[in-house]
Amino acid sequence: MTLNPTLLSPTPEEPLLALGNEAFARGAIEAGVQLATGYPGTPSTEIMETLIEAAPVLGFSAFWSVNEKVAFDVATGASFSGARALVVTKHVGLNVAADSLMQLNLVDIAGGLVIISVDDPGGISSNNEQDNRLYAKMAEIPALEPSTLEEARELTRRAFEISESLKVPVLIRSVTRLAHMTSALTLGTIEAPHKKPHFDSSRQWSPFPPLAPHGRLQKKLRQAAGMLDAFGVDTWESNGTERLGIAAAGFAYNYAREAVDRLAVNNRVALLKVSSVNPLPRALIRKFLEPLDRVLVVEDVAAYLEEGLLLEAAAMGKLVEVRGRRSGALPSTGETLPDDVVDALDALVEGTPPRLPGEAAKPASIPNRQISFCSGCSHRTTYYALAQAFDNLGINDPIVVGDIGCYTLGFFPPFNILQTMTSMGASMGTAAALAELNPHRKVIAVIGDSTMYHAGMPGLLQISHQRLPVTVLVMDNSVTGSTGQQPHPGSWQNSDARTLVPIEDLGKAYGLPYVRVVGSFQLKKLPGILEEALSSDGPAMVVSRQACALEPSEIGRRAIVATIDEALCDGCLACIDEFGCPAFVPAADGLGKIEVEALQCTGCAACKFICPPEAISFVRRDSPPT
Amino acid sequence: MSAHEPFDLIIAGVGGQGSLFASRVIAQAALLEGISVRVAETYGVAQRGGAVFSQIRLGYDVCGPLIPKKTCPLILGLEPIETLRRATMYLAPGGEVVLNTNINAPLETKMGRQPSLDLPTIRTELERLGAGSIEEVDALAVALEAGGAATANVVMLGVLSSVDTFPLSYDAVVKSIEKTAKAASLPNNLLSLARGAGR
Ligand code: SF4
Ligand code: SF4
Repeated sequence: MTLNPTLLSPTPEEPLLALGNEAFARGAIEAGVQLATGYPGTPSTEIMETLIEAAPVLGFSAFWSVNEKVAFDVATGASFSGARALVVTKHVGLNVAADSLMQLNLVDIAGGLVIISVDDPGGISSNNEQDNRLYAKMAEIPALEPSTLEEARELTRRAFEISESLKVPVLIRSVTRLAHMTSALTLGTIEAPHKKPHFDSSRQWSPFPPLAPHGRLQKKLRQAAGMLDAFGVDTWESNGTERLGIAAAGFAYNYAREAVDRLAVNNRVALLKVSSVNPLPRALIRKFLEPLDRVLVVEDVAAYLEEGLLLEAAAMGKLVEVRGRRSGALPSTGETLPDDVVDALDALVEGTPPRLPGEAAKPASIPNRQISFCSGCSHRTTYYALAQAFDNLGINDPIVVGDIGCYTLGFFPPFNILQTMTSMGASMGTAAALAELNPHRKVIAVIGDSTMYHAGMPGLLQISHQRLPVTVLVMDNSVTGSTGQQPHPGSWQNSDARTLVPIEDLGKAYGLPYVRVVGSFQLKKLPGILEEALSSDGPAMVVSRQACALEPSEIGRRAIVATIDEALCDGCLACIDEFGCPAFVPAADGLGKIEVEALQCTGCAACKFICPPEAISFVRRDSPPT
Repeated sequence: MSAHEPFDLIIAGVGGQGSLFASRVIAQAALLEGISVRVAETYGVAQRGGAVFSQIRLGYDVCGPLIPKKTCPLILGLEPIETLRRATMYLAPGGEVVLNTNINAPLETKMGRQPSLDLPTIRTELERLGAGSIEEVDALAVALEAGGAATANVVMLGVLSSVDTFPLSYDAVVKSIEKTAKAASLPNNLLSLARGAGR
């Protein structure tokens, strides 16, 4: 993404059009952030992308870390130096950093340390929909949940203030729909540069022994309640006569307000917006609950606020019916949807039990669009070569362990080759046990370059150390591809100031007896090398390397285009059914032959050898594709 | 239009058609007119050719970014199959559809392995869903006349800005394009917009 220069303007201007993620970035800038880091992950990526572009202009430090734990520890070092530090992660990334979070929370930090976690309700681009508000509860740290772009910016600033004055990390929970919502953003003023970093050696920076720090942490949380109350981030809209209420957490407030407006029940329903996740605003919740008989709670994923209300009602000795995700008034899985909230509120107003929303019927007649690798993608040729290697060696029951990245599309046609995929880097450990317990089968672990650096390395070390017969196939496209081509420690796209650490050097250093690097488009060579690796009895590593087709320097680079000789093409469909480059389409004449869509073809020439009657050749093109 | 007269709009298309640019232009135009705007984009992975779906909500005081089912008064269809997909779920009875007639069928359909949909069928289906009007435009042909296939999306924006119920003015859309488009492609974009709007 390209930086909108207005985001850097020192003083408020006219409102600008911005993405939710840009609003968070601006909030950090306004707070005078000195170091920002994270690991790419949809839907959080644009926060760091914005900060990385802003950093050199404004003179702070922003960069990608190898994984979220490293990012968290880097931010820890910054905070220990008195600098304001930001960690950006998608929800599952905080699992990787959780070990650090659960111990740093007990340390009196110096510079403000804020974690922005973008959760993905419904798992729109994730393997799960975990609710990271629960981390705030477990770590006993203050947490905030904004409902608009304005609040995203403002609460990020506030989070730094709270963190620094109470010397405790603060979590901000966002969700996909806020992160990727475009709307107007009003800017605040950028704070004057923060104090110069200085590490104080006169004290110790550790929670050990943890008992006293735990008590201090709980005291900080009580103080946070007062600060949050003073900031007025939570609101209560009531005329004092309602018996019904709707309580909404963070972004879900928008759905709650809209439902109230749509049903035109503004005079009958009290409305509570809760942006302080931890601690919950207990006094305000009591005021809200006091006159009510029934409440609907709207929130994303967990029944966090719903349970908070139930507890508070119990503590008050108050009988009130609390409906929400826990009670079944709203679906207990998936993102909050406007129609569900309207139905549940309608039922509350009428006093009837809610109609549970059914699945929207999908008309069978509308054809689906299957996603596939881009044209010119190196993963396609690598899987093609792997299938060939299996064929050539007569391996018909391989175990192919996958990992997280674009190459996960290997689960789908035409390859249908992957069999497992869990968390980042999990392919290594999973493959280790599969090889040990299935000694008569070939085990291949497929992992991307960025995923290997992120969390694959410890597992790779284990495979090597235990001498397990796993073929580690690294799909190295030189960037973190699926999130938009961010650089990592093996990317040549890095500046000269960084040391490149190629994957094959890791393999060698870890003692793998067989390590080979080959170009992904080299379909004359790649299958043979994979066969060698598969035939060896110890661990082996094959690095299949070719830059991501969407890497800017790749786009429009080649001045040729594939073409199909109609006279030679016999309509066998190998190019579609075995290879599947989207540039191949049925020829317009409808005679069952294939042609190349010139605008789709990148000219990568990877398809040179895949056509049995050799109908594919290449010609110069006048204008390269864009 | 007052800031409190809400209006929803959906843009349906496939990757590579410039539907994200189109929704950006509308959002920017709304901002220029002082009308509140919230846009939610749904798109697949980075790849080309996936379904792209933008929900644009104008003039609300507070609202979520998602449009409730069967309530959308206007759909800008950059691709007919995608238009029908979204209309099935979101089009309000009597809602309007502005439709680019150039079908971009998924590969499996081109291969004859999935049902295909032709324009007359799509038209009948939209009518069955209760579409109040369907305005068909061969945006590609208009764009080619105006200077290139790449601005078919802007031709459609032109058609959109001439729809009576659409709350943003043609001038705001022009100003927004001037702000949003790259300088080199600006003349082409403005010409395509004018052609689409019949100016
Ligand atoms: S984004 Fe890159 S890695 Fe992902 S499918 Fe496209 S070319 Fe392949
Ligand atoms: S050269 Fe072949 S494989 Fe590469 S993009 Fe063109 S058609 Fe696809």
